[in-house]
Amino acid sequence: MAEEAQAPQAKLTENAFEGLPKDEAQSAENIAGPSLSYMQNVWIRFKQKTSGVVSGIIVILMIVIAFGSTPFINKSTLVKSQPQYANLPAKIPGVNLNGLNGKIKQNGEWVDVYEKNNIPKDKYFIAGTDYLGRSLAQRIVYGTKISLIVALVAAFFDLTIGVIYGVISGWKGGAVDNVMQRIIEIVSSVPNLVIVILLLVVLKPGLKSIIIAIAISSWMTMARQVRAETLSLKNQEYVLAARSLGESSWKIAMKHLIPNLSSIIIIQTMYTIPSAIFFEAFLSFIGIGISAPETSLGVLLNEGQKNFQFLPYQMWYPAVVLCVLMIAFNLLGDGLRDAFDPKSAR
Amino acid sequence: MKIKKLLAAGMVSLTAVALAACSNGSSSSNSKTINWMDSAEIPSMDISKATDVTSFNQMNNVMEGLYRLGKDSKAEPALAKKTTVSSDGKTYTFTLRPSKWSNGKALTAKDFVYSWQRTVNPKTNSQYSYLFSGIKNADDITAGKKPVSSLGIKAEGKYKLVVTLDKRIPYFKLLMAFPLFFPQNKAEVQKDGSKYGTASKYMAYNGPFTQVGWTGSNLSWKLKKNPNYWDKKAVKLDTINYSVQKTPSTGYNLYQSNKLDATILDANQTKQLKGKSGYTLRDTASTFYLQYNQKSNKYLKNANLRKAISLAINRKQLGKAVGGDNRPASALTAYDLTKVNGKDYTSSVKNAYAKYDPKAAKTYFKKAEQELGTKNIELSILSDDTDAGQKTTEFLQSQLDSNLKGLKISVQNVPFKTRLSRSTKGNFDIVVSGWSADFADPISFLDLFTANNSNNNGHWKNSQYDNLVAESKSEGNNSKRMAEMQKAENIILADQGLTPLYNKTEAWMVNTKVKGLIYNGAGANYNFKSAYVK
Amino acid sequence: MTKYILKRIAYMILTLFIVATITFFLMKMMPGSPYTNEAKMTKTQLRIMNEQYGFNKPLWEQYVIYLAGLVHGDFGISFQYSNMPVSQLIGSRIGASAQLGLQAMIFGVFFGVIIGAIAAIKRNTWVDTTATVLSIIGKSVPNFVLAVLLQYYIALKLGWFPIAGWGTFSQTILPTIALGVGPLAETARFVRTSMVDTLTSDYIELATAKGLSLTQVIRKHALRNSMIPLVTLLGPYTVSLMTGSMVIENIFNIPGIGEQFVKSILTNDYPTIMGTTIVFSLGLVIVLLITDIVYSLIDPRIRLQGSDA
Repeated sequence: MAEEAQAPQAKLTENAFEGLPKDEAQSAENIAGPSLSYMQNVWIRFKQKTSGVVSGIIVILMIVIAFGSTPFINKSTLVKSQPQYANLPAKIPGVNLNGLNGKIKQNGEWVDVYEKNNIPKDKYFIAGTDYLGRSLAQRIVYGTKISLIVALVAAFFDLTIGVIYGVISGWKGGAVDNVMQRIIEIVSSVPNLVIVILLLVVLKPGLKSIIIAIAISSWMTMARQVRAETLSLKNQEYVLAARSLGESSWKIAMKHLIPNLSSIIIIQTMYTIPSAIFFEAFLSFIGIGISAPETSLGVLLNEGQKNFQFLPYQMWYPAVVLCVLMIAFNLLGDGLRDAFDPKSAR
Repeated sequence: MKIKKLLAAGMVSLTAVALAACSNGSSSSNSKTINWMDSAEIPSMDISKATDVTSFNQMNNVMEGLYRLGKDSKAEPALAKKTTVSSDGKTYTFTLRPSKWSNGKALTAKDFVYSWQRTVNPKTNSQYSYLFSGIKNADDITAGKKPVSSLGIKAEGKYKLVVTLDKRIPYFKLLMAFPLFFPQNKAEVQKDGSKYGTASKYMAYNGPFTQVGWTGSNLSWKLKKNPNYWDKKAVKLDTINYSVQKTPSTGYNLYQSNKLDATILDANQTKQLKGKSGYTLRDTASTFYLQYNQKSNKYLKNANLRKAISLAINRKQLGKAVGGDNRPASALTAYDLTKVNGKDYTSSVKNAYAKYDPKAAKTYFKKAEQELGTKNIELSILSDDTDAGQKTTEFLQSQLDSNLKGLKISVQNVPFKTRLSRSTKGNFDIVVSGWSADFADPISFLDLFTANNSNNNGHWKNSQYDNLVAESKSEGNNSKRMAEMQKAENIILADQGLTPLYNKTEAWMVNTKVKGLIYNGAGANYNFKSAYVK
Repeated sequence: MTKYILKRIAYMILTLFIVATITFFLMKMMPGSPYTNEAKMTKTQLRIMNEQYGFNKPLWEQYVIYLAGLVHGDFGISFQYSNMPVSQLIGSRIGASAQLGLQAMIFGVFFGVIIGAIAAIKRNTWVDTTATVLSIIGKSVPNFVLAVLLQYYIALKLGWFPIAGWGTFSQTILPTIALGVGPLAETARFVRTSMVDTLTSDYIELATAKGLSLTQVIRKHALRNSMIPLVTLLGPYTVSLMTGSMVIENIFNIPGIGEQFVKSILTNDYPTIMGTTIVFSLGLVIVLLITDIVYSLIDPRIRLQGSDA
């Protein structure tokens, strides 16, 4: 009260104010920038982070190359061996750099293996060959495709089983939630990988078995996170409003929950992918993964590490591709996380 | 600041470790010690129960039998001071030299009797007791039809041993040099009960060395010179440090830094190290071959198809792709197993389909297609899931696919024991099998394909073959016996009842300072008795 | 609290029971027999052998016997080592695996926390970027590739550490690093994120405003608060260390159960496979139990949630 009294009394006449033209009045209320949807915001934030964008481009490129190669590299090209070209190092036309010109270091000296084995002059293998004389570059591309298929399948199961399980558990709540949470608790304290390895021994090793194994073991984290988020969303006012207006649960889930869950889902998916790729590589490494004639990055790595001392390129090339793939997915995941949740980007 | 302190502490401990590591890096071999490796753990030291090379190799050096396998697979008298054979070749009388067990007890003829009876006793679960077949009543005893005491082995007094056979066994002395026929100390077996042979301390030794430090599942142990050995003067090494190396690259790394005196090489190491000082080839007296399921696969009954498959395989490249320095095989019997009149046994065995001839292969394949009246033959090849197994199927698939257009090949790689069990049950089209001779005689291979042999997984049948093999077993004249076996082998190869692929030859790096070591492909491989370091 | 722990233990037992059951039936579905020389054995021998292993009994009876054995810590007799009880086999090998796992965990968490904390304090500088890049690489390079590289370059070429084997402490260094890099990278990322959160939160700003030095702020508030959630990562770490051990032990010749597990799979040694699976599960549930208890001690909110459920 006292303060009010201290304020100077302004004496205003009636014409001290001037009416604004109608249209201008409206525009002052307007927000200066264009109105942006949530996704547009995410996109803008995502674009700001170079590492995320570059990773995204790399991932897309790898997907395009791996899957685009299908008409050229298939099972029958993989089966074909040319033992006369076995274990040749990389030789790229026009490049004269030791290691990429058909030479390999043997006992401290660079030796031209192509010349030594009387390989025709116009024969090039840009990433060298394996022990049966098959082009390593082709095998890496094919291996990448298999690794990506494994990854995408894992992502698919994450999205279906994981998301649905999480949403139902969180939305229904009560007894249903309780039971579903107990199940998850038990399933996730089983060392899944161990069970999966056993499963692979019982089933015929191969892509199908690995996919089943991944389906079983990959969805829990997603389900947990989605459930937690659903629990908090469920009590948000707009959801309450929709419920009290009598919207069906299905519609609420599709219209309100899923869009709001999208950030968590996308981020989690991005983290599932590298671990699925790693998982496949691991299985192939211990010898129960993809079986010949098909190949994967894991199979190539396993083959390569055996010969590392003499033919280091046989491990380096697939290892680099695998690492780039993993790093790209990880960074893409980080980029997306920061874009969806600006608080995390500091 | 705490973080800094922690970091400093971490750094200090790391440097300390690095220093410790450096002081630890002492080089190995003094003049009486060698460092050896094996690629698998020892499954058992129980003579009656062992089934694998690793175990037999250990036993051959810590135990001793009537004979010891010397250079070029020659059985040299060991505990048998004197041997007499009856004129029909069915009774052997051995006079033993007095010797002791490592636990101080005297070793007598009874120890042999006990050991053999224990092995053939069906309750012992010996998976190798079939080798006793031919010793009087052995087959009936393992089948549970006769008591163990009826086995044809008797102790007469302390040092006289009489063995009676059902029929003449031309390679009997070689058998006696195989660890399965070594003696066992009854007192030790009974004292240790179910622990017998599961660790170094639950064993009694009588060989040039005793074993120390094997706990039953660990990856390193020692063989120490046995002070109770009857011929200890001949033993020059004090210690053999054994370790299990499962990754060839690790093994080779250790060899390079002098932590190992020998290491087995994988395919690529072989290729790179060929001809280097220390590079050593080891024949394993084994043949890998394809068996065709002629019982349940309608296509594989066709001989022309089998011939086509055989001709379409480049064995030289297959051998290289698989690893080691494998020798392309054209015969069933392994190369360098035994000699006939100064020439290798296999040099007189003929196989017209062992060469690589894609053209001829196509001709035979066309014939087969016509005879079978089909253009889409699908076959699967079964093999182990080991590295060599996978490489074999991968290579075969690739070759058959490109040389025999129209033949569809799929491959199955399963664990070793699963492969065995599927082979026995006939659950396969084509299976890649391997056989390694237990003793240096071709009969070890030829027996496999007689009509009722349990290892004849493809059920190939030929009465002439069976007769020749049976005749060879009763033949007293060695060169006639060999000729009969060669004839039998020609028969099965002319029909491609099986397709030999390669003889497994391992490539090793062995320290050139290690001398006097005896290696044999058949039976127990290593004999360190006279080995020394120069 | 006691009630909560009892409840958790009940779940633990249920989990183990489920694992045991799944493993048992998976093993029964496995093709192949445990015998090396089945073809050469007489029927009598096979019958006696089957009786000794209990294969002649009906499946449900085998199952009951198996479960009863488990309660007494009896996993049966190994197929690949004759007369060797699986419990003894695992017992003689678990020490090496546990030591390696623990060392890798300590190594990973210790350096992970340091790197993560430094990155958070110096955030958005080159130190931070380097740490981030390294931890992403650490997370992305498969440990078996790293193991081969370490063995070749550090042990063979530089000769700093032994190439392989088990016994001296120096032999444990390289496998520890190979196995620990994964958890290290994960920890570093985790600690960085959570510490940045803490450092920018109001109470830290208040503490700074109060005039506490940066060191004190970090020591008293930031580090401690950012490390609490780290406890929840112990479970996933255990899993990744278990799987990692299967390849690392193989490469470095370590007599542990991971390497044993792979070998028993390749040799159809069912009793050992089952025994090892159960030991792995037991290890994991125990770690999870400890995690939960520790966490509920640190953070009472969790305890409340846990006991409502």
